[in-house]
Amino acid sequence: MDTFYIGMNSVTYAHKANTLLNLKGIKCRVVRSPEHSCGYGIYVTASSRDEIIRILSEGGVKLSGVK
Amino acid sequence: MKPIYFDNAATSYPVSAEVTKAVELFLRGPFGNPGRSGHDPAINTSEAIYNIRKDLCLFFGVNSPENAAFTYNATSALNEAILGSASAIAAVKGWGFNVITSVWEHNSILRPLYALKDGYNIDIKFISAPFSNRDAVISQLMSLADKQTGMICLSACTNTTGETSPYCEIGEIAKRLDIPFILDGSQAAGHFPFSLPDSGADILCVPGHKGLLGIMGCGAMILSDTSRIMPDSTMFGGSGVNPQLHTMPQEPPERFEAGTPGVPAIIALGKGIELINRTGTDSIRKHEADLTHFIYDQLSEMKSIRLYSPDCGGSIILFNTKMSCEIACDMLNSRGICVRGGMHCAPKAHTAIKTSSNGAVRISVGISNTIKEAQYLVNEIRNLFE
Repeated sequence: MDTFYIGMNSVTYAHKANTLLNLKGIKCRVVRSPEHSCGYGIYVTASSRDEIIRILSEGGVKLSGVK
Repeated sequence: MKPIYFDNAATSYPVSAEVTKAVELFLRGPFGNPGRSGHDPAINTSEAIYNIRKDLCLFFGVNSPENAAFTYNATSALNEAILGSASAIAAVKGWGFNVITSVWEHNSILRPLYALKDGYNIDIKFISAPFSNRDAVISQLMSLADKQTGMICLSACTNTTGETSPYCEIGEIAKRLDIPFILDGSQAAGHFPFSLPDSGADILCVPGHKGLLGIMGCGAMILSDTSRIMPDSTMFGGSGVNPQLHTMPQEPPERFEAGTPGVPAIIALGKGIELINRTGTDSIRKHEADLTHFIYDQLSEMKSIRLYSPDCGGSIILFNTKMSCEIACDMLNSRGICVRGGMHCAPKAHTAIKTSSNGAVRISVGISNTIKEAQYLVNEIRNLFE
């Protein structure tokens, strides 16, 4: 399991991502962006980063970056 | 004396104990400015708002929570929808486009349109048929629409006569003719079952403090999942993201939400929606319609009362006595009854029903009204004016 950050275009998308992943039993947390000031994203602990990105993209979450 | 409140079209009253408690709990904290900071209270506040967006969208049959932008009232939502859409429409049709609306609209639709007319020379075309004459409304719409029609802006229910527009049929026509349709749900939302996809509208604007049972201080502009139009921002300022940009964020809802939102009012709206879902809009509709029919039937038997509303099953009754509407309202106020006189910010509607010189008295029923209150209202009108 890895913990990684996924950036979103807005706090609304960060909460949307949080809700989508929680529904699938995946733990995550909404945070301010560690990359640059004034942005939002989530920290996710999961085994597959690609799988998380797929879930979020299919759920209509617009991403701004993956670290 | 507890007021006998029949002015729910202006704002719903009383606020339920559950809504009051939800707001009080929020204000006790901890809370933070949503979408601004990263500490727990701020994140928790933005999560609460996100969940209310989701509930609000589900309530109107919309799937994407980000499609609901919170505004300060229905008026600011309509300003955003109408003024924000104008540039995109002009990009396709040029600034000489026309907008179809109706004489039954509130100034929250009329004044943004007049501003576009004065500033950009758009043409405004008016449907004049009463909304209850559905065939005539559709017929007028079809004759007014042409290749230069850029927008249809109408209410689902008038705030004067209480008539419901044939908005679903209008939505179908708007789709067929590929004309964006902005729907004002101020007197409809919460009062009867209402689905944005079924309406065919691209954008729905609602207040939080009327039929949705919240408090004054917030409204919403809701884009349908298939909206053909994405309004430009009409208000600019902080959004909590990408501060280096000179523009507002491109994505909704932050695209439309400059500055700190009215969080307590949004919390109240969320609880209001929960109450409505628990009660059911069918039950609310039946309760309000039963009371409205009762009052209507009683008033229609009084010789001194002139009714302007048809018995159409809305929650609003418009009438006059033989005296000035404001004096009549004041006399009712002396008996503890709250109703609204005047023009109801709908000047063309009053012109259409020939009450523009003196206005009229409006009774508007809400979920909290009881048959006992309706009986008291009717008796006092009889005692005072018959």
